[in-house]
Amino acid sequence: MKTTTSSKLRIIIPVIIYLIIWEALAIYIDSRVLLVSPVKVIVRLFELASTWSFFSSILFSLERIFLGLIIAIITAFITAILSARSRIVKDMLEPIIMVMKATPVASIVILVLIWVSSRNLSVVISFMMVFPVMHTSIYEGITNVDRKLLEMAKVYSVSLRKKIRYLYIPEIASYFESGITISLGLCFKSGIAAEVIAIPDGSIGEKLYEAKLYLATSDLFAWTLTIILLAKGFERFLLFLTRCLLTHMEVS
Amino acid sequence: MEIRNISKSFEGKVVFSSLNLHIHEGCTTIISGASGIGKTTLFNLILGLEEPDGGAIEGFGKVSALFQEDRLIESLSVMNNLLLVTQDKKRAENMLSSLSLFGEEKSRVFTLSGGMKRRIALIRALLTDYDTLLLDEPFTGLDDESKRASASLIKKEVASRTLIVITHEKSDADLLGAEYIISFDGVEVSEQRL
Repeated sequence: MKTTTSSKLRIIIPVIIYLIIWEALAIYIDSRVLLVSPVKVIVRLFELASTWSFFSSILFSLERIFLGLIIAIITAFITAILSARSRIVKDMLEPIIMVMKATPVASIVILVLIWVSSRNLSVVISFMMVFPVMHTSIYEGITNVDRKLLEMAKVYSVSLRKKIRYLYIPEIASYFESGITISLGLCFKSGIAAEVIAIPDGSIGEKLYEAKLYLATSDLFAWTLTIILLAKGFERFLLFLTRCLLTHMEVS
Repeated sequence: MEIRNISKSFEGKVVFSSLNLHIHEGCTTIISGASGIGKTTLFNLILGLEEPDGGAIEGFGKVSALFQEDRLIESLSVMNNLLLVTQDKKRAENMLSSLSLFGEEKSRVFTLSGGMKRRIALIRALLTDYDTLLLDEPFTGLDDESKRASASLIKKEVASRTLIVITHEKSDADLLGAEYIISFDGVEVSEQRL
């Protein structure tokens, strides 16, 4: 109990200090365009949250980013399993993964805009950001399963279903969790950045673009805060789901 | 049961060259020798976990084994570790009972002592369907009473099947009522009828 309280304080105290510094800077600069105070951001966030377009924008962007994320995770599972089973598949995928990891988001966005409509751009961008990270994480998980336990399973003729459930899933889970933590932040940031470039109607990206256009700094901060909360919320939700699944299967 | 002209090397280091062994079917045989002469490599060769560079291994049928390490899934319960190799929960419970582990079915393996883990690993090996049972240092970490109980369970379960025990403790031969003891130093092999 004492530890929980002290660990919470270790998070809360720096946040409060930064908020005070922010507020002081905003008072000192005294410009609504250059730096808006945290209190005004919160007030603006509540104002935005009282409109239907706030939620419809969130829904629009979330739907597409989440779709890209799910397709990426499923594809990563398939390619990681195939790579672990076949050297040829691994060698063939390696350059694709490397290129996807190294290419700047802006280049991908402009290139993809030629191929797909701006409405679905964030699906593709979200996929492109999540897939290489998740592929590498899941592949690492599969290839790191204890060789001695695999030998044990071979000697005792343990069924494939039990091997997957008790040997592979627990090992993959920890790599999956770290992959999700890294890629979720990336996919939200890149997905929204892509929307700012493509400006699909009714997206969060469009709202950010409008904030920039009209120098509405409080809107910009309020939307940014919303994106951070959404990304963090989704990360927690997915990790919670993963842990529930593992506990249910008695593998954690 | 024959091991014929087996040779095995690892990165140029020769472990066996033309090793020949005859194992008596349906008997208990102890294989002893000093550490590092290739007992565990021989064990892996019989299990099919290593391929010999040359020679043949014949007549062992279905082989079950107790590894030198316990190789249990630490995060799983005792019973779930045993159910990996059998559907017969009742038989698993009886074996747990005979090795003083009754009541530990739901305990996660990582919470148990080394001796308890060894006994669970032994039960798992005995629950598997086999013609030949290989045990690599089966009594490591067990006190005298657990050793006696484990030896008695092994003898009862193996019955008329073939048992091969790799050990450097010659007293294990008496505990298991072994009929043959094969001593080898990697080159010379000598068999003794007990």
